[in-house]
Amino acid sequence: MLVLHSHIPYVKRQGRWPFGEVWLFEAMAETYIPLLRSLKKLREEGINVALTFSFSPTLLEQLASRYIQQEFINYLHERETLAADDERYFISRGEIEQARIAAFYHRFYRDIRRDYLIEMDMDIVGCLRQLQEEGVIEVLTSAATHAYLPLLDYTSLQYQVHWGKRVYEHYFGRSPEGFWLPECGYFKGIEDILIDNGFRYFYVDSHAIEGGKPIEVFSGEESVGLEVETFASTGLSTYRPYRIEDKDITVYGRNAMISNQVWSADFGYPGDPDYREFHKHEMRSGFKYWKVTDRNNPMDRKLVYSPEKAMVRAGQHAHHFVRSLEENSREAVKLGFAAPLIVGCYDTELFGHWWWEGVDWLEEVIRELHHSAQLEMITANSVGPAQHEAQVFESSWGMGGKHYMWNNAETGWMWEIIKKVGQEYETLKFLSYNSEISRRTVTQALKELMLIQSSDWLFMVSNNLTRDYAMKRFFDHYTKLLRLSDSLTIGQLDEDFESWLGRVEYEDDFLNLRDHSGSGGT
Amino acid sequence: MKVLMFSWEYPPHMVGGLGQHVYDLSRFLVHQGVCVHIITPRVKYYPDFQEENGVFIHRVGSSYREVENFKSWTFRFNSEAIREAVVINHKVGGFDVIHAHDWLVAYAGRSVAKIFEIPLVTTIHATEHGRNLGLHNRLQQEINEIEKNLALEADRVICCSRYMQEEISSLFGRPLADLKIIPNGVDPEVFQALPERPRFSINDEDKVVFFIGRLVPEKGVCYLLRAMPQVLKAVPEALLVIGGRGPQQKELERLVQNMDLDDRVLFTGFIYNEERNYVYNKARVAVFPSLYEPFGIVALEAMATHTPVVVANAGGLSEIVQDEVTGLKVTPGSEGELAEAIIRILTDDGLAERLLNNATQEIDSVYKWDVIARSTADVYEQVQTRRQIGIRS
Repeated sequence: MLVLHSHIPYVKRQGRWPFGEVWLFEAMAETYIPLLRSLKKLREEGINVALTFSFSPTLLEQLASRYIQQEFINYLHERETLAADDERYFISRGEIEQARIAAFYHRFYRDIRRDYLIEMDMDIVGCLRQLQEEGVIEVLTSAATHAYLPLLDYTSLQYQVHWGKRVYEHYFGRSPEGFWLPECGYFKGIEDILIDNGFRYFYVDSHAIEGGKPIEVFSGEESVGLEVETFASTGLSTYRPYRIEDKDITVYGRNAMISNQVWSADFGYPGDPDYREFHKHEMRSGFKYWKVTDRNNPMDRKLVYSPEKAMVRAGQHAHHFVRSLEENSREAVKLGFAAPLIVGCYDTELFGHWWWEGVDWLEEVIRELHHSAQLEMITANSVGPAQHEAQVFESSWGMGGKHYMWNNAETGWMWEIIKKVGQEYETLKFLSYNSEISRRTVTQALKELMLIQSSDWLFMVSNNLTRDYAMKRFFDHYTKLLRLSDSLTIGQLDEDFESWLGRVEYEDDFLNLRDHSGSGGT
Repeated sequence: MKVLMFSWEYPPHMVGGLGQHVYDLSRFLVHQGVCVHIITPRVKYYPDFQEENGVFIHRVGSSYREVENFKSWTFRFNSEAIREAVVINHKVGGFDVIHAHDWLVAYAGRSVAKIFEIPLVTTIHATEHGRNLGLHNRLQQEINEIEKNLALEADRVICCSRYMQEEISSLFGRPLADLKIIPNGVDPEVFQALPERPRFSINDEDKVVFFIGRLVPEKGVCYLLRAMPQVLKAVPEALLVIGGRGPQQKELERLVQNMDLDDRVLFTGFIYNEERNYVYNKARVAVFPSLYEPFGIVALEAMATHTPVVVANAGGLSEIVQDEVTGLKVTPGSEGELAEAIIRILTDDGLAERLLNNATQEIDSVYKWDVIARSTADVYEQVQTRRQIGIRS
């Protein structure tokens, strides 16, 4: 079972470059569209595909937005022009290898634009819906704004899950069965809210089920005060799904081995010397012309990238991966699992965006799985009820295995605010009954509340990446929420307020489910 | 004109010179007919709301304690300041300008200005890069980033000297034209009050050389200490009084012991305003040997108390003092030049007299608070007009 979790925070109309919408455009051009293209190709070859995707509601809403769709076309035009400029530049300097890569980028963005306009009709969500209806993929939903659930108050949890479900229903025309816990963040009790909302299964990291040491999926800057928790060994295994003890819901555990194979900075595939180096780019255009070469080499000692060589490596790695899966499953059979389940969970954006060759690798993996006598791809909606019961540890897939990445000395004050505004909203929402404008105000307050709760701001502050952007977003949504709440409380909903409210609704028009044509939003 | 100021310091919460600046600026703005509200941290035993000199003071959040995680405390304060701003904004019928002093209130200033669509003015009193002579760790880089975004997002930036104008422009890439220089001011009246009983006394025969400021390396006190043996050789009655405290104090005290200067150097530790006035009354020369000084308010204060000054030719100090006219200037870090200049003032009464007369004139014409408040009110009007006609610099 391959589960790809896709998420971009709500960046629409919240800055373009270097921080903001460009994050979304990169993921669309480098990951989502190439992946959909691969799936189409595999289908045409008659290959069986059964892939699980989760799409966060913030991402779905943005992908369906007319504004984002138009801006994305502009973005692709810009990339094409820049690639052409780069090509001329390298030719003028006699750097033929780089010029070839620039030409490759030029074609790449042109093709993406063509596919996006013609094949997909700018409707990525529609493509997903169709693939799901054809049984090629299963799409899960997630928390409305990708909040880190284990530390959220109860009512906010309900909003996050409820709106995660609503957005999904809006875009996919059916109820979601599986829920992706953002960051695999689990605590005992969340399953009750999932059950109440009709979910049948969710996913956790391997140590949540098996115990032991968590997998290190994240290798960022060294963090002071990190507590790596060692979880008691349970004797359970991720080779099978479990029913949560006394509850009517199933949990799938991520397989540690195959996660590491792809994720690990030290021995995972993406660090291969022939693959494209993510961190070095041409200053003028942002395009990347170098290969990893040696992971320990400084950036000025990277050699020029060769796409052909990298493709060969991707094929070899895919072959290696499927052989490892077969090996893994034989071991599991020896251990007594008649039909072992191997669950691999990854961030979708790893493929293509971070690991440039990742999409080709994945395509080849699916092809090899189709030909494997031993293995079969599967999605959770076709697995029967779990036979065994388990309790699951409070955990996440982040560094340290628990809450550290989102809750530490750097972010403690943010949680205080999140908690406080959550409580305040509970009082506020009862003030909405008397007029259309007060109803609009409360609705917008809920959107701002949920945008404050995005795990992304906490992660960026912890990780010291684009920290100021995250802090600014956090404070801006907070200030909007306070202004909404203050105006409502004192009843000052005059013309000035209404025109301001209109602007805020336009800026944060998240969760606009009014248009039921399937591609709502503006 | 209604302005909302965010300031980390406001009397009685004073750490550096910021609190005094905001205090004086706000009360003189009131004289100019500006309505001023200030949001600042709570102080124990002080009211949450107070009207003082016509200025409305709102104290929010928890009072600052040095033991806490400073960054977290700051951001928590920002969140409380925003909360208060939202409430008073509607009470006053909408502010015309938001004025944020330094990075500590950057997020409150930026978010309130943005969400309420009010022009933002910021005064950058000093930069993290300047204070530390570079950026040496993660915290300093973070603060630098916050300062940069504040400086770039504000409709207009105020700084206190040409030196700071150039520093802000080169560090953050904001054109010089967007950075308005308004010097800090000084109010001679506040130097009148004397203590009933100072904790220390100075004999009339001592010729006092006075330094006042935080004891940190950038203030260059060690060069002054090293100049003292030469000064004492020429003027044995010289007595160096070091007013203020700071992380470098222990190190400086050791230096005094090692140089055997114990009886000619007096550390006052934390110094009250009245005690400062008492020392200025006795002082024959005030010395400010800073390596980095965005403005150098202390030199102005010394001039306002009729004390001749010797300053290092650094930052804002060098703009305030005109060499041989309103004071004497020396090369930063040069002990020999410091000693020479101090000796000249202590031994040449004619020179001291001339410097003093010129300095007094300068204070009256340039550094008076009503002049400064007028310039600040002009900036408020400019950003407001620009917003109205749709220009955002």
